[in-house]
Amino acid sequence: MKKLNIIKLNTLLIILVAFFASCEDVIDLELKNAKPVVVIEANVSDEFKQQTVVVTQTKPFTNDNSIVPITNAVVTIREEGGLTYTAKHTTFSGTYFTPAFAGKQNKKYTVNVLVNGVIYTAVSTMPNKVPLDSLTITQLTFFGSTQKFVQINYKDPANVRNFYNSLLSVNNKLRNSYFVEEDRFNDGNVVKNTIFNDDPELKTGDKIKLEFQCIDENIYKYFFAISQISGNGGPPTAPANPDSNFSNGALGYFSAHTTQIVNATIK
Amino acid sequence: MKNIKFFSYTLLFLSLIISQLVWAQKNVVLNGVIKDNSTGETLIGASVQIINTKNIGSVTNAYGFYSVSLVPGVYKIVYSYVGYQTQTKELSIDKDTEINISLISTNELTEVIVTSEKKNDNVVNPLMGVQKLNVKEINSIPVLFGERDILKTLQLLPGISSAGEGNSGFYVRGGAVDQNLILLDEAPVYNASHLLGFFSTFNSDAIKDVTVYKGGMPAQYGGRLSSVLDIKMNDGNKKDYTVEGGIGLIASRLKVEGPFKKDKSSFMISGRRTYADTFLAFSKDTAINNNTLYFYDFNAKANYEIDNKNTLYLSGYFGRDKLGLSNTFGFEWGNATGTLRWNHLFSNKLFSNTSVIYSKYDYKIENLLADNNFQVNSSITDYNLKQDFQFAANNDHDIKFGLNAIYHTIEPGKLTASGNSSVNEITIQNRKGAEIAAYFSDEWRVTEKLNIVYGTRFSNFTLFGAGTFNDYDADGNVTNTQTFKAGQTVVNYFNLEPRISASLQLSESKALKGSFTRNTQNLHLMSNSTATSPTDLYIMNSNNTKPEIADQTSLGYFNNFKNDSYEFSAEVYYKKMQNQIDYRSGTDLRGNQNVEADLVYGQGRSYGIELFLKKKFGDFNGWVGYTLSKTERKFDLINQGNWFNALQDRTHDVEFVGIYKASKRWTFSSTFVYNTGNAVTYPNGKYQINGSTVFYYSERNAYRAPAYHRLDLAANLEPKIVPNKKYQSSWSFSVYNAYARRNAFAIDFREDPENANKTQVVRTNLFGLIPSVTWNFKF
Repeated sequence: MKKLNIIKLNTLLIILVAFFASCEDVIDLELKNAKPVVVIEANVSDEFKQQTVVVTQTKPFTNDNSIVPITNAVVTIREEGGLTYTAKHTTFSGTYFTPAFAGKQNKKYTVNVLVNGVIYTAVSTMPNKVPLDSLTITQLTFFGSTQKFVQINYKDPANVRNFYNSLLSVNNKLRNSYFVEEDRFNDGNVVKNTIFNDDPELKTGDKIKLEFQCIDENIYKYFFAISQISGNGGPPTAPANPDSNFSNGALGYFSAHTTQIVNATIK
Repeated sequence: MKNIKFFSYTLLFLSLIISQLVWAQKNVVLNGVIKDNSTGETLIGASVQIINTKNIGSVTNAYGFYSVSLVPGVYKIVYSYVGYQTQTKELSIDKDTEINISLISTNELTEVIVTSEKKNDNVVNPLMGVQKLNVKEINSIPVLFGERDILKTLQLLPGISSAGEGNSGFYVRGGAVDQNLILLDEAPVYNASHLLGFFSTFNSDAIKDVTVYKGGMPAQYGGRLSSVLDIKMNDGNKKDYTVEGGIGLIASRLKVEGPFKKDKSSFMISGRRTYADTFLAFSKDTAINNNTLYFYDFNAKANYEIDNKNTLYLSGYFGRDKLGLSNTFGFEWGNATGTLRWNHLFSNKLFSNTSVIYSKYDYKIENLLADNNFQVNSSITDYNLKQDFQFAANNDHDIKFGLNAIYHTIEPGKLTASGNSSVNEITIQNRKGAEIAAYFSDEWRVTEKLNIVYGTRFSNFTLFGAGTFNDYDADGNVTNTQTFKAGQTVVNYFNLEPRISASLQLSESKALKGSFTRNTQNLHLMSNSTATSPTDLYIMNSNNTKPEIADQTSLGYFNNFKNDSYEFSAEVYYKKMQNQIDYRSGTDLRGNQNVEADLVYGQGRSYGIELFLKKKFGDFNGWVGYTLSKTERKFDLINQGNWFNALQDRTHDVEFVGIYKASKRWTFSSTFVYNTGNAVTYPNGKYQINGSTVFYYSERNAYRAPAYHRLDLAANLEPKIVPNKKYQSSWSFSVYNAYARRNAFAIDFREDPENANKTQVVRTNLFGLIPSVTWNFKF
């Protein structure tokens, strides 16, 4: 169904653009600057490593895209029925590292971030791991040009709700942070899904790195909302901030997820 | 309890009617049908004026029928209709009399019609917020790609605004697109647009009459909050066979009509098809020429006058859009409607119409990729029974009453797939519901100066099983689940909708009017795009979603001057809306079993002033409209619970339409529109997530898109009029967006492709200057 959405909107738009000769230009707008808001990006994966929490804040639209780190936060991650890890800030980049540990499937994790006297809390439960069976390259033809795409293949477990996210890097550059899927329409089946990505097209010799995550439902919704507002074609309804699982109005998310990385070279 | 209330109201209004019957004894009745002399088509809204009394009059109903009660005496009676020569008769009426009139078309809209009588129905009529579109007028107004379009012409009226560039969707007085009741020969049309909204489903060849009610809706209409657009198809020429058609830039049309039996029965068939995809076929590339993209419309109607008391009408519409990408994807959607009507005269005072109506909208999506192939089907189907009575009780009271029952079935989505697909077959539960309404209204001429139309609509909605129904808490979590058997009542809503409008005649050409209307709506359109989309989903009232309610109060001043050749009106309105619907962020409407978990409910308000000046006759005619308005919404979970500008909010809205008849053959016309840009949400900041930029929004719709304005021009070349020559051809030339204004269709924010460290604002505009030409013929 994800695929449907992309094909539908893009093709309709391509056809319309072709017929009605629409065009784009860059314009200047005067935008107001809202008061800065805390942004937290926290992840716990099942890989044994230093888990990270990035604490930053929003900045004016017209500024550059660098982050505004918050360096004086107090960050802890608690495992349900287990240890509490304190994450330490080291490099002035707003990134806080825990001591190395591996998150466990079916465990609930709680993150607490204390910034200037306010505690922001989020909870996420790491889902069961679903292995990615293989990564293949598929070719599809649109309007006479054949393009290569990455296809992920896995077997979805039956009778449980599963949510996935794929992060695609090409030649060490992150292309696509959100390719979320769920099993509403293919529960229990062998799934072969194409990751649509075309700017620029994949070509022979490109080195692909794909991270396949099993995520919880809240994170699925969060990433889905982000991909919706970041303009997947068509004029969308009024955009809004995605619902964060953090309390007290912080932006961002906390995801406890499993991870699997597959590398390949396009032939 | 509710049912008891319902019946007691029904009894109350029946007793009112009976009392009216008793008063009516001593008068005589003048009735009949008004028709076009050359085609035999009945004329809707033609006026009958009894001059030498206290200005008694009537207008013909949707079937051309009129009835007037009079004290026996000698009368001068004037029959008139815009674009037709007025006829005057002097008669001594001492017993019930039937007079059928055939009016002769002046054939040229702009010709000055010299009459000594007043054409001041717009002043006398107590209804307000009503506009009638003349189909001839529509044909001379410039439009996109030269495709005449009643919905786009409608957007040139004050209080009615476009849902977007080139879009046939429209907003009336701050209402949403789905809050317009669009009726084609009484059948509701659920998706009135083709090709993502660029064209409407109404082929103006087949249309006889278009009336729009922006407020003060008569009680016989119900079911939508903000407007009623009542469209009537041509009945078919009862005198002669004619063929007419046109070849345009993107579509061709053909209409055939004629009598089955002269003056007794006739038919009309009209079709239209676009050929955008024929351009694709010119491509040598098989990957391109295998694609399809077109729509077609088909209107047909037949009528049979059994005797002078009974007439049958059968009409239907079928239209479809098809879009296909060779071997990968298919998408089609369309409406089908059918109406069977029986007009019956119980007496010369009691007119009855019985209609059986069918309406369906459906879409189908096919993904043909082998591993994930699937097909989605979705539809909404209505079976509708209507019984309307019109009773000319006496010369002071004109009464309408009736019943309406609609059975709705919504199939939200049925997903099917073949064996080797990774997609599972899923059917989302169908929803079934019934709307039953009864109405009563009385047009009462209280004094010579004061006219009142008052009435009530009683509307009842019942949601039926089978199915499971969830209750949700404020966060959208399921709190309770109940299962109902087929036919079991899940929930029932009853609403009383009072309607009243009055006009106070200040002089022959000046009037003050006021109205109060309550409307309710039991079907709601879910759409997460600002443009109309074929996959938008209808839902019914439920245990969570309550009927939408709107209360509208309006006041107006109407003034005709220069012998009624100019018409001026000023109307102010205030509308309050309850149980409005919006979405949580990240709502996914596709194949969603629990759509309601993602809905939030709130309120809306809209108020404004509309000014309208129209020159009705002369070589130069047209109108200017101006609207100043404000439309807002409020939801607990959106915008921190504060009021925010609605998508429909336009502060200023100006429209100008000018038609100039330069010679016997050439007519030039021009339209200009200006409106404040849409209320939009722009980011007030940004941040990084997973290494890419995400925008931060702090206020809903707090910004304005750039103002929209556009000038269109058209020239029409009419044939030389040669007596006894049947074949005629004419040309229409038009230019859309004559000064190539780059109106924003969308404003997007993105990373600068040249410098990933910066963000930029990108404006997309759809149409530059678009010339078009259409050739029309008739024989």
